[in-house]
Amino acid sequence: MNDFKTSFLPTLSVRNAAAAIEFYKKAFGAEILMSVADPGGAIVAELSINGVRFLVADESPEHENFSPETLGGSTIRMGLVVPDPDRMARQAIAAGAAEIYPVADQDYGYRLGRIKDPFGHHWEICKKLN
Amino acid sequence: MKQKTTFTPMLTISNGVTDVDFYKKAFGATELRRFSNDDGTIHVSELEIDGAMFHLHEQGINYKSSPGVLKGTTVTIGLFVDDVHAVMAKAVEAGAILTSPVQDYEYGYRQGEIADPFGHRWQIQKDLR
Repeated sequence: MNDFKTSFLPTLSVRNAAAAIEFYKKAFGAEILMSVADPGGAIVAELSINGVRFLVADESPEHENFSPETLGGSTIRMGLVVPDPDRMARQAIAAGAAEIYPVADQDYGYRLGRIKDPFGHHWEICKKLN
Repeated sequence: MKQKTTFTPMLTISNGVTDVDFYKKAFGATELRRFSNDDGTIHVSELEIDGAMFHLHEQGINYKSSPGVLKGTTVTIGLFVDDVHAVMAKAVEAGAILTSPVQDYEYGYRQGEIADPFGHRWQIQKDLR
């Protein structure tokens, strides 16, 4: 039997990975699973939020990895499905995120709010409504 | 029921898109829901690949942030699949641009990278450990 499970592992490009990692720890309770720095000091780190993993990396425009600050916007929003979006959004805002709109029941079936983190990435923090 | 934490990435696309069959052909995605504009173009498309949900959302009228407009991407979507070679081949056949061919890396991942027709970058990968 093949029990392989398809999953996502997003990589977020940022201008200051060291500071971003500290923010994600406070905002989302992220844990650092791995962190490596190249000789120039550029960091790539793997973080986990309640077991879901993502990568944070200092931008490298030579590899077409751009931070939202460099491009003046972000091309992907991070949907983050959690048991308690109200609490998670509050925690992220307390850690320095900006609220784009508050967590509320949305007509498309989610309790969802949107924040922008200090590094320019947008997060939609949500859970499915029954 | 205990809600499990997951990511549901939302990929920004241009205004005026009607055809997102690329994701079906390339990744075997299923479209779960679609919210269309009055002219039939896509506002939001909700898709899943073998249970992993993601969304396409047209860029805002006043806030244009698709890869084509921003001239780059700020997030690369890693996608863990069972057969990296097969998915990469299907994606390229469906219209993706090969940006990094499949290779086994010393850190234990088999990875290849493509740019999809909407400009988003996907790293197709498998943990070999």
